[in-house]
Amino acid sequence: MKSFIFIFSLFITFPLLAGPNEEFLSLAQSIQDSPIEELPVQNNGRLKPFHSLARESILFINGRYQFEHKASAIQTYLALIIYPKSDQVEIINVRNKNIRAQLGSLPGNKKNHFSIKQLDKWGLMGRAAPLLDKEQRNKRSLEPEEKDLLELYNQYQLTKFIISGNHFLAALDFASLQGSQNHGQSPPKTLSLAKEYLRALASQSPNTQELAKQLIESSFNSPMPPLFEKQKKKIKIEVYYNKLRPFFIAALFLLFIGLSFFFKQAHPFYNTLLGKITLSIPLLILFLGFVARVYITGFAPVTNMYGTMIWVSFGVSLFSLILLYLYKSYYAVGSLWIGAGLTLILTENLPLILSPNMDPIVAVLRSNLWLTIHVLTIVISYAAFTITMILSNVALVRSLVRSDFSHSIYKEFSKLIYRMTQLGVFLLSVGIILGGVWADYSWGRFWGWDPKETWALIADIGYLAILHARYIGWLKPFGILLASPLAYLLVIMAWYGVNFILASGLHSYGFSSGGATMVGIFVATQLFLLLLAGANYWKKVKASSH
Amino acid sequence: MKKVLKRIQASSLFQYCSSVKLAVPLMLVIGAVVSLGTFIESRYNADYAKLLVYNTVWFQTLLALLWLNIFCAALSRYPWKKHHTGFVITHLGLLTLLGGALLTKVYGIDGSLYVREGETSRTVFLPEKVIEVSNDYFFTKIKAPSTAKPLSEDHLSWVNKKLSPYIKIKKFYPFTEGGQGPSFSTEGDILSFNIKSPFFDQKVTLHSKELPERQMGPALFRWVTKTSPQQTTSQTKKQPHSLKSDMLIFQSPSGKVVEKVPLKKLPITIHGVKIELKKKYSHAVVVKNQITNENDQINPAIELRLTKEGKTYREILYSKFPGFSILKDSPLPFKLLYQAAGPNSPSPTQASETPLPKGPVVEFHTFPKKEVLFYKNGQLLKKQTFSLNQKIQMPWMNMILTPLYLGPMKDLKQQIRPISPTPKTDQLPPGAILVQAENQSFWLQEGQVKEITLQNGDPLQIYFGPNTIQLPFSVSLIKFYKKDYPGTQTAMSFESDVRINRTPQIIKISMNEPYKRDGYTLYQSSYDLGPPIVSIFSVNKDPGRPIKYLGSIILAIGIIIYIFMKSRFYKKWSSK
Repeated sequence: MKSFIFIFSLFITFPLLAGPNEEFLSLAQSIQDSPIEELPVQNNGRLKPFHSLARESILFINGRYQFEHKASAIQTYLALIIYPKSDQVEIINVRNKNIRAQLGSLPGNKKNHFSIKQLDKWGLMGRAAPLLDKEQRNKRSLEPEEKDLLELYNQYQLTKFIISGNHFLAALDFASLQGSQNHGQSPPKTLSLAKEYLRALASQSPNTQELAKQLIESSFNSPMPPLFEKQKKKIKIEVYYNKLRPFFIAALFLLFIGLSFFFKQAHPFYNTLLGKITLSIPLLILFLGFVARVYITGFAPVTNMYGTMIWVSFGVSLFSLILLYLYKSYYAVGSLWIGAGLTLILTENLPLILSPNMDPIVAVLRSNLWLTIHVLTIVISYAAFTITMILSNVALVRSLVRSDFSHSIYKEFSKLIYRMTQLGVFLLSVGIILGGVWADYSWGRFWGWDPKETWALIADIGYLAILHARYIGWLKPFGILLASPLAYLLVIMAWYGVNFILASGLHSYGFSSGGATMVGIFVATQLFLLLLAGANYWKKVKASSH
Repeated sequence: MKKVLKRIQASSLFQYCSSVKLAVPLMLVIGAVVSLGTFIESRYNADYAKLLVYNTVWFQTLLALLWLNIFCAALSRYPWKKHHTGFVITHLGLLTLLGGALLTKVYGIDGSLYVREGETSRTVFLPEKVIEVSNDYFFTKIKAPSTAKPLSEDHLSWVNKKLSPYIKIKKFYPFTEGGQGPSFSTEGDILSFNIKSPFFDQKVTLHSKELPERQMGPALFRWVTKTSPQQTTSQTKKQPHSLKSDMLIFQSPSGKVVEKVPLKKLPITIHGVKIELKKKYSHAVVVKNQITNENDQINPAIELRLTKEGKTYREILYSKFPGFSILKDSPLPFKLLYQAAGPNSPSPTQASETPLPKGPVVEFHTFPKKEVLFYKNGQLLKKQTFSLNQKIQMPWMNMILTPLYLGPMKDLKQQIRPISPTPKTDQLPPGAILVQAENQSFWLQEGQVKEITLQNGDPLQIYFGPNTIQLPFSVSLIKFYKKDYPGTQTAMSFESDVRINRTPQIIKISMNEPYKRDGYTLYQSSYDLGPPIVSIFSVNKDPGRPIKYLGSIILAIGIIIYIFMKSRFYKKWSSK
C-alpha cells in the first residue's frame, strides 16, 4: 500500500524530478547515519542519543520518521544542514487541510509538504505573528485552525533552526547549562568538533566516520548536570529500543496467534507446553518494551496517550489469556488478540497524535509510587472495558451476519462481558480511590470534581448502572451486548476526550490534540452498529412471537 | 426492634427508596449532571462549574438521595445472609465514603496561603465569599449568596436580616466589570478607554497624577491634563554619561544590574539562550512595523535575536527608552537594556521627557475641549473631539478606540455593570454588592473594604470578598526554589524553606512533602515568580479524611469478596 502511494506520488511530482527535492534526497542517502546515532545530546531537559533527537525533530517537521520513505531521520537532519538549497526542499508537513488549500495544494493533489521558501512566499510569519500574541495573552482562546497555524509556524522555525546548524550545536552545548557564569567563554572542544564534522560531511571527505567517533567521545566526556550524568549509560539502550520497535513486533505476534485461534486444528497445539510458550511470547515482548521505557525514562510508562494505549493492549492480551484459561473460548480470545494487535499497530503508526517521546514529566507526577499504582490501575481497567466492547461488537456483528445466532450464544458472550465488567469496575473504582488518595496527599483534597476524575467516575457509574440493571432484569443478555459498547463511549471520553477535547482541569500534563476525526468515526460507526443490531434483534423477536 | 424494622421494610416508601429501580436512573442522572459540569469547566473554568453544578443545593440533594438509596438498600436485606456478604460490605463502604465526604464538605477547610519571600503570613483565603460588617463594638460575618444570577433587594432579605441594622444590601451582581483596581489613590481623575483590534481587546486606564501616559506595544497613550504630565514622571537611576563601548546590560527583575556585556562580544549564550546582534541602528525609527535607520535625531537602537530550544525571539532595545521591549514572554530571567557608547548618549532618565516619539502617539486633551489626537512620526494624522462610549477609528492597524470613563477617581466605583463570564478564561469576573448605609450608598467589588462614618459618629467597616481564617501559627517564607529540567523552563520540582512562628528551625515544604501542624496540612501548590516571589500553599483541614479512607478500604474489600463469591472457585469450594 505504502509503495503504491509512493509510486502514485512519484507520478504526480514527475515534473519536479530534477528539482531540489531529488538532489536533497540523493545527498541525504549518501550520508552514513550509523556512526553518529549514539552521539549524546541534550534536548527538552533530557540526555538522549542523536538518533532520538533526529527522529523527534524530523517527525515534527515532516510528519514521518523518514523523508519520502527513503532517507532516515538522521540522514534527513544532517542533509538539511549541509545542503545549500535546503530552504527549497519540500519537507514541512502542512497538517491543516485549509492551510494546504491556501498554499495552493489542489484538493485532488496529495501534496502535503512545502518548503521554507514557499511558506515565506505565502507570508507565514506575518500570519503567525498576531496569533503568537494571542497565544501569550490567553492560550485557551485559540481556535483549532489557529493552533494548526502556530504549529506550522513552530515547524517552520525548527526547520530553519536545524538548517542553520545551531539546533545541532545547541544540543551539544552542555556548558551553557551549567549556569550563566560560563557564557562568553571560547567554545568548548565538542562544538568545534561538531562544526568540523559538519564541514567534513558537506565536502564528503573520507574522515567523517573518524570525526563522528571523536565527537561522540568528546560529547560523552563533557561536564554535564548531575541528572544527565545518570542518563549517559542509557544512550545505547535507547538507540536499540528505537530501532527494535518492540511493540510493533509484539503486535505482529498478537495478530498471527489471534488469527490462528480461528482454526480448530490449531487449538490442541495451544494446550501443549510449546503452545503455552508461544502464547506468552507477545506478552513477554510487550513487557520487555515496558521495562526498556521505564529504564530509559525512570518512571512508569503511562504519562501520555501513547503509553496508555500500549498498556491497554497489554491488559487486553493478558486478560484474554485468563478468559481462555477459564472459558476456553478461542474465537472470542482470537478477536481480542487481533483487536489488541491492531490497536498496537495503530498506536505505532500515529506518532504525531500519540507521541512516543520519552521527555521528562511535570513536577506533580514525579512520584513513582503513586504514578505507578494509580495510573496503571485506572488504565488496566480500561483494558477490561475494551474487552467488553470488542466482545460485544463481535457478538453484535455475528448476530447480524449469521441467521443461526441464538440466545444461548448471546448468553455465553454476555457472561464473559459480565465478568469482565465486574473486573473493570473493581479496577476502576480502586484506581479512582487511589487517585483520590494521591490527590489528597499532594494537593490536599480527596475529590475536587476535576474533569479527569469526574469522567473516570462517570464511566464507573455507567458500568455500575449496567451491573445493577442486569441484577433487576432490565438488561437481558442481548441488552448487555448493546449497553457495553455504549458505556465504552464514556471510557473513551474519560481516556481520550478529557485530554484531547475538553482539555481543561488539573490533569493538564496529558493534554494534546489530534485524532478527533478518527475517534469521531469510531463513535459514529459504533452507534450505527448498535442501532442496526438493535433493530435486527427486535425484528427477529417480533417475528418469532407471531 | 425487629418488628419495627419489619414494619419499615414493609412500607411502600421504604421499598421505593431501597429499590434498584430508583438506583439505576439516579446513577444515570448524576452521571449526566456531572458530565455537564465538566463541559462547563472546559468552556469556562472550574469555578463556574462549581457555582453552576457541583456546589448547588439541588446537586447536593441528588447525592443525599443516592446515600439514602444505598442505605435503604442495605437495610432492606436485613437480616443479612451469607450470600449478602459482598453486597453488604461494598455498600457499607460506599456509605462510609460518602459520609466522610459530607464531613469534609461541612467541617473541612481547603484554602490558600500566599507568602512573599522574606515575609510572614497566617491568613488563609477560602473559596467561599462573605460580607463582613464591623467596628469596635461588633462584628458580623455572613456568607455571600452563591449564585450566578444577579439578585435584587427582594431576594436579599435573608442576608439583610442577619447583617447589621445600619446597612442593607440593595443589589448583588455575581460578575461585574468596571470599577477600578485598588492601585490608584482616590485623589485625581481617571480616563479609561478600550482599544480593540482584530487581535486584541484591552481596557486601558490613565490616572491624571499617577499614570498620565502609558506605552502599549508600539503606541504611546498620553493624557494632557491641565498640569503637564512631565512633572510627574518618576526618576530612574542615573547612568554614567560617557561610555567607551556599547553595552548590553542584564538587569534582574528587582532592578539590579547582573551583568554588562560589550556588544562586540556577541553572540553569547546565557541560560541556554543564544543572543545574537542582528543589526545596530544609530538613527532608529519604526516605519510600517519595521525598524529602519532614517531618523534625523540620534536614536541608537539594536536588534537582537534570542534563540532557545529552536524558538527564536526578536528583541529591539532603544538606548533612550530603557522600558521598551517587544518581548512578551522573555526566555531570559533578566531584562535587557542597551547602553549606547559616546558622549552623545543621553541618560535613560530622559526617556519620557522627549517631546514626541517617532512611534504612534495617542494624545487625549480634556481641557478646555475633549479631544483626541493621533500622531505618527511626529506628524498629526487625525484630530477629533470625543465623547464617552463613542467608537473612534484609529488611523492605524484597524484599531478602534472607545472612551469609557472620564471623571474623578472617587466616583468611578459607581461604574459597575453586570456581565456574563467570558468563555475560555481562567478566572471569573469579580462580583459586587450595592451597599446602602443610612443615607449613602456605594458599590463594593470583591476584595474591597470600605470604611464609613455613621450619623452618630461611629466608624463602620464593610468588607466583601473571600472568607479568610487565621492560622494558629505563622508561616515565614525564607526562600522559594524552583528547579528546572536542565536547559528548559519546565519545573522539575519546587519547594519552599519556611519558618513556623519565627522559630529558627527551617522547614522544607515541597510538592509531595506537605507539612502538618495543629490539624492543618500545608501543601506546596503553586508559585508566582513575580517580582515579588510568592509561594502559594494550599491549607487543608479535613476531619473526614480517616472516614473516607476507611470507607475506601471497606469498599475495595467488598468488591473483591463480591466478585470472588460469584466465581466458580468459590462455588466449588462452598459445595464441598
